[in-house]
Amino acid sequence: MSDTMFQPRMPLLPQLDDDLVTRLLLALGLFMVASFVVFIPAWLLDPRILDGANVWTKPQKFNVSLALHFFTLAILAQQVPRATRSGWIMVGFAYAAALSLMLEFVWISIQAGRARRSHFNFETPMEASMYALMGLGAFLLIAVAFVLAIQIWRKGDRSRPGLRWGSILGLSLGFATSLVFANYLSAHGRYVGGDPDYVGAVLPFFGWSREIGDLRPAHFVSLHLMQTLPLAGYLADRMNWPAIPVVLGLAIVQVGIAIALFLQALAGQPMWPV
Amino acid sequence: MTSPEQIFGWAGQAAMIGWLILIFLPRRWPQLLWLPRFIIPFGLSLLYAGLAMAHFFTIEGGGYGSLDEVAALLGNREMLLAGWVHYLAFDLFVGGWIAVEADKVGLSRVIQAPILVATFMFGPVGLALFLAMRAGYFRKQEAAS
Repeated sequence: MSDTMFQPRMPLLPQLDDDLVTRLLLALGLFMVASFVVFIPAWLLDPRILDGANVWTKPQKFNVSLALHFFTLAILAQQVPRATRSGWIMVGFAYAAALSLMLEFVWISIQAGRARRSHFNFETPMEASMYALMGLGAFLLIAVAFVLAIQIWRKGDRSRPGLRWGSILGLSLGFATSLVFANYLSAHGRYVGGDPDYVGAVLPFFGWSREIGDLRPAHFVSLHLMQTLPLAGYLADRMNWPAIPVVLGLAIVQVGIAIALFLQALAGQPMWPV
Repeated sequence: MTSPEQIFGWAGQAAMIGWLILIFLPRRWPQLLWLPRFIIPFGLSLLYAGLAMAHFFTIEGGGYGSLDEVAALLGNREMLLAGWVHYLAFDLFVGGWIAVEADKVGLSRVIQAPILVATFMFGPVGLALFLAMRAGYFRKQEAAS
């Protein structure tokens, strides 16, 4: 807007640049937060249960996770020059992620309202094809992170090595490991050693089984490399810790935990037995 | 005398035109927004006024005082239609407000679309979504200008 009286700023992060991609990524995060707030009453008032949890727990987990994802991307994108950020690669992948998010958000919310599964649901042709389409959407949602990692590696600010390497490693490792784990998850279902309709003791909110092998904890730990490594690198810069060992050490530990959780689930064991 | 079903159809089509403009058409021509923002809501409001004034006072036990009174009001087909037209008019007007405010803060049409669809389908859900989002934008406005 050219009107100087009306300069919208995001109070959450007023120091961020006001370019197209930053604005889009921030607004997506904000949209997820707003959705979380708006679904709270339904969460409280709706007594319906699906897979052992309130029907609205699924969209709420999705809202929290993707709010975190897009806020992270908006912040980390500040490391590349504005020209790179506003170039067609970043704009293209940011819009692809935005469209994917909208598709997934709408479908997950509708299915929650109908008390039907949005994932692992092949009961009707529509639900099966939406599940396939969501696979592509999920790929595009995290592909933008990998593309950003490449841009930071090529053109990013080199004055803060912790943040720089935390971002590059976190975004690319988070992307790669998520591809592996999520791919396995979508091909084999979330449970190992139990039928897909199994309902037993679960972790609150997360809904991970405490009785049988559950592949989702590994996916969770690996996906959030995208947040933990940049944060560790940022702290290393601030505290004058050796940046590379801190980031690399945490990366090895966290990927190790994710692999351990994955193997544990494959062995049919719950991560936190009752 | 036009049947309530016929009026229901026309009102729905008028609202639909407004929503299509808000959600899909470009914002390059501001005059185009007059239709969903003012002209269609005004027409629907006039229709509501006619229906409500003609029937509200004639319904036995109808009123706004209790849920039973409201149920009696809406038990009448003309009043039920009036109530529906009320939804159509106000939801569209709110949708127009959301679109204009969202454009002002530079909110992408990709994100506007689901908010507007939510307003179209479940009025207050879309409004609450947008109000919650807008709370994230405006607090630092003075500092920035």
